[in-house]
Amino acid sequence: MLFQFILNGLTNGSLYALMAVGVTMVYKSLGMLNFAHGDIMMIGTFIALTIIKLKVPLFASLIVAVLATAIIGFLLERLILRRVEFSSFINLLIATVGVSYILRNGAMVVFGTNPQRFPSLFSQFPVNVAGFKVSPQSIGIILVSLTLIVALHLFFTRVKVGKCMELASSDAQSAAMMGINVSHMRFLTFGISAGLACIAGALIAPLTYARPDMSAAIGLKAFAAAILGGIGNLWGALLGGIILGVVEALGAGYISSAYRDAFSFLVLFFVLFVKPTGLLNRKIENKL
Amino acid sequence: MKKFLAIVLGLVLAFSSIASADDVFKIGLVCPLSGSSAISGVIMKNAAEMAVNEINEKGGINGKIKIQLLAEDDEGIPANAVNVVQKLVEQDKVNIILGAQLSSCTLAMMEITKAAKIPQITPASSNVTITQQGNKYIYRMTSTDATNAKTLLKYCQSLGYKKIAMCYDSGDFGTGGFKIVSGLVDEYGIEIVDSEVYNAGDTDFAVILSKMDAAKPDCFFMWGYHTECAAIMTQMMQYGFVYPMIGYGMNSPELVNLGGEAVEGIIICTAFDAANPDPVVQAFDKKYQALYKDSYDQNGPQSYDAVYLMADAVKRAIADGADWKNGEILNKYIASASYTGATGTTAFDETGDMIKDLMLITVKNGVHEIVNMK
Repeated sequence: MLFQFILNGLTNGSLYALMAVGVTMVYKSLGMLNFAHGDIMMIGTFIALTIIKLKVPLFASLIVAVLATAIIGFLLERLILRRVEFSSFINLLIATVGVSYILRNGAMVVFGTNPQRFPSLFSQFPVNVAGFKVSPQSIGIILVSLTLIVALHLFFTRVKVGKCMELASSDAQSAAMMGINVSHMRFLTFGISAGLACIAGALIAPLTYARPDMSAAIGLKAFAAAILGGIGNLWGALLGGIILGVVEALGAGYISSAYRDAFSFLVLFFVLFVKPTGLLNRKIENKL
Repeated sequence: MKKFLAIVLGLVLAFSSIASADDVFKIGLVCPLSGSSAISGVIMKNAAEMAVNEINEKGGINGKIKIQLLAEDDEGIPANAVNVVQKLVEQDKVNIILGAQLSSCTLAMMEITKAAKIPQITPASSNVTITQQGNKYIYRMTSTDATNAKTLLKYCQSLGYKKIAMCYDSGDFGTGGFKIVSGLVDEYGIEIVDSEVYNAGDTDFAVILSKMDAAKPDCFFMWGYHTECAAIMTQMMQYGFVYPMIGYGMNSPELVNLGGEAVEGIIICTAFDAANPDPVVQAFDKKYQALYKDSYDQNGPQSYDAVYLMADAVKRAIADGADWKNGEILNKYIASASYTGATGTTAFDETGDMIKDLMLITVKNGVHEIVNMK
């Protein structure tokens, strides 16, 4: 039973981590939290579902959906956030809340309000691993998330564009002085963040169904995970996500399944109380 | 400006008084048109509209009074249900309320309709406390948790199941069902070895399924709605938990759509199913499918019969020369109703509960089939 709980915790944790990375990237680059992130995940999932229903093979549909969601991320940055950028930080936040509502209700109108089935990349039947019954879906989610996060890390540290993005995020003025087009980098950040959200949606939807209120389950926890691990820190997002997922699973398993969601937030409160900048951050953040 | 406003006001008043010359019977419908239970709410609305249109095409009640159906979305959230019923009662001045679908919403709304002295018929909520509050304006046209629990436990007993693991929804429906089942299990020689609660809208059930499996029951027992049931059974398949699933609350066409092969073999207790060969049932089934090109659950024919029962009550009130627009008087005619329709014969006892026989259905090859108890 413990094994099952931990596996479940790692699976959910990987999803929170994937979403948290998207959140943390945007925070680092713009200094704001994108409250529409969960709904971008939802829209990405529905776009994928629409393409799948056109009888396009699953893998190809997902690739197209990720690109389409990245484009939505680009549009979001260009059309809405750029206009609001020079007014206060609060306005940016509210703008993303507004986008979140529009996306959610738009999805209800276009795709209907009912949950819909979403096909899985992985087998639906359990396999035997060292005497334990394991769902390929769980293993798949963990591996895909881990791979993507490691790939992102390599992108930010080894690839030129990635390194430019990293610099533009941490120190916009120096980056500009070095000839990096900071606004292009911000643009890319949003696109990548949205693409990641779409992948997270496609991973979770086979288990939870594609539904317009999908962001409710994961959205808030993504922020919690990002803040827990240290906002702005890539590995922090991964660590935060895993901790949240595992604590939640163990709490639900050994204490009470009704208060499952409460456990992750309790951990968040506790950690912030002890270390306000998050687990992996060293400097004092004064942006929030 | 003032003179202009006065003229406009005068015209508006004049027109509104002309509009109310023809009597209209207003039914306020409160149901979930979005959220996890949206499918059931939409079915309620479709079936009610079907009944209203049928009656209006024949000229209305007694050939004179048209019915107007005002539908509002409660999203399956009790606080919203209270808001919309207040709007229907105070602003739209409805004559009667049809709703809600979720027990938690019905319980929240009941106080408003009682205070406004307007009858309320719920075609779908099964929590027993609904009719135990001394509220003489509430009626129920669906079976209660107690009758469903007894039927299901009898079935478990007939198969020799001694231990069950139960999971239930955290709302009034699930917790009410759990209370009833726990109180009844001893009579059937059954023990609940594990019980787990989940929240509507929850999507991950691995933890509760592991706990239920660890208790090694003979079967899983569930009291909840179809979205979570489909997810639970899908996850049971994915994690390799093989147990019979028996329950109530998940009878809906969406169960098979969402769950696919995972829900094969589930046993559900219900008051109505289209697999029933009764001619009235078949007539309703064909017309609904033709109109809405979609399948439906028991809330459909129950809502349909509810509208006809209301119309019948108004008709009898008129025949007696009584003022059906008075909520208290209309309430008396609803209480004395006896209507035979797609769901059989409906009459209410003194608490507002309905008495009817129940059946068990299963899903075989994606289709509902009636199961005979041994």
